Amino acid sequence: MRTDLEEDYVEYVRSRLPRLHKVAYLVLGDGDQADDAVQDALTVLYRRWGHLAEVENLDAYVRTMVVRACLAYRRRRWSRVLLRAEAPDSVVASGSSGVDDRVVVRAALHRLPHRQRVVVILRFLCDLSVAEVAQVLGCSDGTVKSRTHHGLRTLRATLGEPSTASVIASHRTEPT
Amino acid sequence: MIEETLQTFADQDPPPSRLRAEGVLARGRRRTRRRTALTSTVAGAATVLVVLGSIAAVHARSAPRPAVAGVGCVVEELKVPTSVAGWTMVTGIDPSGRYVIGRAGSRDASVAIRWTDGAPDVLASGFTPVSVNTAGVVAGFTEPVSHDRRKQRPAAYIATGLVTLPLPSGAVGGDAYSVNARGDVLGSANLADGSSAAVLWHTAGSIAITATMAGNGFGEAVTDDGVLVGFTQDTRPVRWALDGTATAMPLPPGADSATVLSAGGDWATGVLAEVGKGDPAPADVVSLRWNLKTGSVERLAGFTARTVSASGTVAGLSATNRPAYWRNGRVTILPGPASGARQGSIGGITADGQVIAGNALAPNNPTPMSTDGPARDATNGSPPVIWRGC
Repeated sequence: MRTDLEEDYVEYVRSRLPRLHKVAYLVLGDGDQADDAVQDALTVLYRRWGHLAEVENLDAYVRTMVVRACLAYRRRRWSRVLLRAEAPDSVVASGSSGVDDRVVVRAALHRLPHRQRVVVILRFLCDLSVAEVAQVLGCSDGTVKSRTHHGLRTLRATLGEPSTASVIASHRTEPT
Repeated sequence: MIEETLQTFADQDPPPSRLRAEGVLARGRRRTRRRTALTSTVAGAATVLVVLGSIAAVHARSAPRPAVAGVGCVVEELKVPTSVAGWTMVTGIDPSGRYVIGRAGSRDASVAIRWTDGAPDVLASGFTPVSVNTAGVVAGFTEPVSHDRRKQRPAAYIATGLVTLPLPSGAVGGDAYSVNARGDVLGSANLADGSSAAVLWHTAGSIAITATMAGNGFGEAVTDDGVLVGFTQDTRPVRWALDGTATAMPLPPGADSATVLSAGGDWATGVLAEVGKGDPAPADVVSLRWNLKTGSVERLAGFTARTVSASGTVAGLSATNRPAYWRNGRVTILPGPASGARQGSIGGITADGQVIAGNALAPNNPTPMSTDGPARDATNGSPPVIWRGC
């Protein structure tokens, strides 16, 4: 790659890394895995850099690459993730002395079926629209809406809305 | 509102990234050079296979409705040692069905378990068992409590106990993922520059590295015939010769990447990132089965492959995440420990494809299981099981 193009690439990567890392972290739930997935996506971006003139929204394009890198990372590591992932979280009862809002929400997300979890994360944690999620996952808008509906319904049941929300709110204002 | 709870969760800062723009650029340069070199090698190897006329990609995109296992296929719960509290996850079974292996315990104190004819023994703590052969030799890896995969070490449990396998020069960690009847172990070494190399060890007689494979890859499975398969860091399935050279495995038309998960007899299985229209292309999970003898590859519709037997039967999850097996183009769902059982996971399958080990979610467990973990609670509501006569 030409030096000037590499400089553009480095500048772009530097300015977007925090956001891309956060998206990957939300999808994968692990900082190191998020770094690996972002690196994978940005390596592909490096190969394509200089050939992206027709891309209308580069940020959305790269974000899609990162999300798909996360999903690919998860797939290719599937057997390894099964074995290597941290031990399952113990269920922490809402209102118990050990309650932590992040643990509660993360545990609830992890208990969702994978496809629902990815849709909920992209819709509500990464703030993507229904159409954007459909484009990222290569499925229809209706599929995204359906998975969102079922995912939120399960989360409401798991988190006990609104009581858990109240617990979390009180926890945040009255730290133990 | 649940949406506000999620937003609050999303607003929290993730742990700091270790990536820096200059490092990303350097890695991009290195990988691009390696990819170019590997593509040349793979293209040459693929040409040879085409000349031999042995690539036959079989399409089976329309998933038939899964069947339910017949009355001969029964499920039995595996006993867990009373000293072990918490969850238990089955990770493998030997080709004869005598030995089953798994991991159990808690986040900070997991132990390896090996069942012999159904009787459990705790092998070691801090050791994750992955594969077991007909002699009961177990391959896997040790890891610190932090679960940092860069600090994992390949290990094997042999007659004398747990031994750490040596790493090639320049490696900072590694893992072992498969052991065959001869005690040959295949795994990977993590190199200091972030790349990886597949490594073959022998454990019979003495323990030493047999070969380190060329290219940037992960070793996944070694068959009793000594066939070595895995995938590159660019997620291309490869087969290694004992001299360490890599040969590309075929991909279905339209696909440019796949990972190998398992091999047995003349078969291997894995998954690919389906390539569709658009750039970046949308992704979907498609499972594959390779015939290592003929070089053909076929898609397994409506099924997520996990492991393949020497008979060609593939164990994995149905489209609804139920433990199931694929045989002759048909997906059959395995029974639960009681009627109404739902999801689960697969650990392994015997050579004849008739016995499968894994976890099944009990119907009274309110916690659904996802593909990236077993029971999510501490009550072992997802018991270790073995399916026989399937």
